[in-house]
Amino acid sequence: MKLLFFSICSSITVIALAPSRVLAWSCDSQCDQGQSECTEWKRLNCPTSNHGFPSIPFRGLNPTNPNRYYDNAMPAYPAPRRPPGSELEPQGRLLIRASRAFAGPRQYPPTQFAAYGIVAFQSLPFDTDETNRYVNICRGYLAAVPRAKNLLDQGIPLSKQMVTVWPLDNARLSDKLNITDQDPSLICRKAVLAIDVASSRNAIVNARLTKPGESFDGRGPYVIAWSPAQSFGKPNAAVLVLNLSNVSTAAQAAELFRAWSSDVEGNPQLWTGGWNNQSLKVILRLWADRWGSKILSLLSMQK
Amino acid sequence: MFELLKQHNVPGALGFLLGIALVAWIQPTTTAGVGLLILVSMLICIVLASVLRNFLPK
Repeated sequence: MKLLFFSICSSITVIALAPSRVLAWSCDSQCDQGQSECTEWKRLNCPTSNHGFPSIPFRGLNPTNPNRYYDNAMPAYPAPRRPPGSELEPQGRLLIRASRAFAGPRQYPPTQFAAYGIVAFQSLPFDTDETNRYVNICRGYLAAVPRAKNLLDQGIPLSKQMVTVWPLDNARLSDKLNITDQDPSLICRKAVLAIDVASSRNAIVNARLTKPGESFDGRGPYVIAWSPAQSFGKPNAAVLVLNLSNVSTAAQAAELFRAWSSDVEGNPQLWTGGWNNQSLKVILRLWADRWGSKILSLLSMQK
Repeated sequence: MFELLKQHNVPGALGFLLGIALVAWIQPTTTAGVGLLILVSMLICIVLASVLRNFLPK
């Protein structure tokens, strides 16, 4: 009896640890000849220390698409240099870059972009904790997604960008925040106080109509994206949804926005096929972090 | 909680090990998250052991 139980638990443990072990084996065995390409291959395909940033969720080796793990927020992974105006990746795919912008009420939806998303809030922050949570989400957003203007300066036109908009109720403030180089915490304080709930709710209502199966009942915010940009509100439009209800720290937000960006850049063709940005690992992590202190404090109170 | 663990020390210990493995895989960012994962995996193992004990032939 105990042997049977032991074997079941051992199997679960092995399954839980298998992905990281397989990855380590794959990274070590892929290049065992000491060739110079090995270092480059491992740099592109094997997860390494991210200089204090949380690790990117691993979704499997993808040697045909090494750019999948390039990230704009991490200096360790610089994007390869291409001639200005080049519209194709080395593999011949269309170049799409994720970007961000603050937008006032009349600047939304931004139809000159290839696709766009919105950080849609259910409500304005109602207490200090919620305000701090929104500020943390905003800091993650600023850290992980590059400014649209910066990409434009690098020769990537707006028509090749997928912009994620933070909606504000003041167009003048949004213009100011789009160009300022102030401290991110300061920018985010202003951005959170000026959230445009009307645009947010409008986006949620439209996404609910387009994707009836998707639940928008959490505390939010939700990142909702449409492609192409003109398809906002149309039935059968390609809509992506990222739920940030369980996010409370800037690091968690940055990790999800990074994964969002790399999925947008790496797999635009997946958008129509019920794409899900959050892996099981990330969902479990957010759940444990959100509910851990509450459940443990409840148990200690009952003692 | 401690009484439960005393009565089910073997599944509890295995659940603890499973919890450590889950923590290594999921990498929660808070201490409470680590504690919750270990606690949940221990409880799952204890419940599983109790169910198997009652329903499997001896």
